[in-house]
Amino acid sequence: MKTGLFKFKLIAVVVFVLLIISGGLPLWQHRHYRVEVILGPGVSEVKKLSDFLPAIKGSQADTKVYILRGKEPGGQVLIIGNTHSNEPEGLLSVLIMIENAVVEKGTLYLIPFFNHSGGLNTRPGEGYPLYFSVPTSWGKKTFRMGNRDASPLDQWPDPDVYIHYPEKQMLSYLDIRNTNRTWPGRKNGLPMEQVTYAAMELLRQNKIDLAIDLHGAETMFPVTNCIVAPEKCTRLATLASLTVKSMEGFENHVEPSPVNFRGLSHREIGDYSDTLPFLLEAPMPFLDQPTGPKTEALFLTGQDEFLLSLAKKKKLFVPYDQSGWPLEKRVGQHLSVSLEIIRQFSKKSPERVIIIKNVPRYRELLENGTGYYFHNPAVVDQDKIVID
Amino acid sequence: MISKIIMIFYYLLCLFFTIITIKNLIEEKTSRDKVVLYLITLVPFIARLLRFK
Repeated sequence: MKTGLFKFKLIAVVVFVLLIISGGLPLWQHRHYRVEVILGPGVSEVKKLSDFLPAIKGSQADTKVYILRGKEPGGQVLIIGNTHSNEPEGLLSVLIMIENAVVEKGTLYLIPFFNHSGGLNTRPGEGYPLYFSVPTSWGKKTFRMGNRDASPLDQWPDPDVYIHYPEKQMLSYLDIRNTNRTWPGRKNGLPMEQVTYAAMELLRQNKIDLAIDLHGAETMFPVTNCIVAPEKCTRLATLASLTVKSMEGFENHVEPSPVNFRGLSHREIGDYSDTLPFLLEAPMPFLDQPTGPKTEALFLTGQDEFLLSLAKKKKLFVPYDQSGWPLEKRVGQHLSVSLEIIRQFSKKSPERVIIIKNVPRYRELLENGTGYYFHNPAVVDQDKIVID
Repeated sequence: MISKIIMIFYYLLCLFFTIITIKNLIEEKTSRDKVVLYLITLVPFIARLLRFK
């Protein structure tokens, strides 16, 4: 009996070790996978968020800030992607700007991986893929698919209830790792509070005029396909919305930023600094609950038969047909709306003009695809490649 | 700072439960069910200690 149990134990331990390796190794590889970012002709300097709050230096909360300075002084704008790392259209839009944009007037600050730790997190419980690839003329460019919240490996444990600082609103425990609930942040707080505090310092120290936070949202969620803006930004947001509709032919309505829902970038940046904040939501069918499997194809095309059926029953908040809501449309919307907000601001504030060239707009993205704007790391100078 | 201390305690707690579960596994003499139970119990602790998830 004892020998029988010993043999069973041995076999069970071997199976256990194999399961740990086969299940754990892909997660470990995902956490250590790095993206090559090509510095375009407009990039003047690469800083880190820890330059604005040294406490996060050396941690996974720290992230790179790409600065594109114009030849002439002017206004300043910050654009951030991957606040939620499972909504990577923001990341891709910011990377397209880093690789292509040239600033003629003013300064452009870009943070592609805002919740850097969230980009190292995964969501296997909901069957999310660990990676997604964007096709380009030179092959595929692969990115990590992250999660909405920072990794528990970097910030743990969560409180039972998250009490927002400084407004003291009680929020879900999980939102303490969500960098769109921790604005305006806290200098001595938990790491994600420090991330948003460092970003607030970046905004305040540099007197940045505009902050644009790029997201994706479910098609079944009312706050989708829109610009979320507080009262002081409503006019600019409305002008941008009307202009893209008339000039580029796509809808992007304006949603008011709720006054009593704290921690969000579009609320707290405006309340705790002179910066004008905007949050852009592109419809992202991949995030909807009643879809088929969460595959890379669903992420890229946004095509799903269950959503199509729901669209016929008028259950979605955006028009939806068999063409889905492809990545190039989502990224194109983010780029066009961001450029339009900047243009409208420049028209209104002639002393703070920002002129950005060489960033593709909606129609160009639809014609060329997203991958067209990423450069081949194999043929660019090695000193132009940053591992992020 | 306090969050870092709590995190360190959490890892020490994981290590403690890993060690006692392995000890129980080694000392188990009769039940196959308990062997399987110990191994399943180890999964989250090992995944955290190895920083997989």
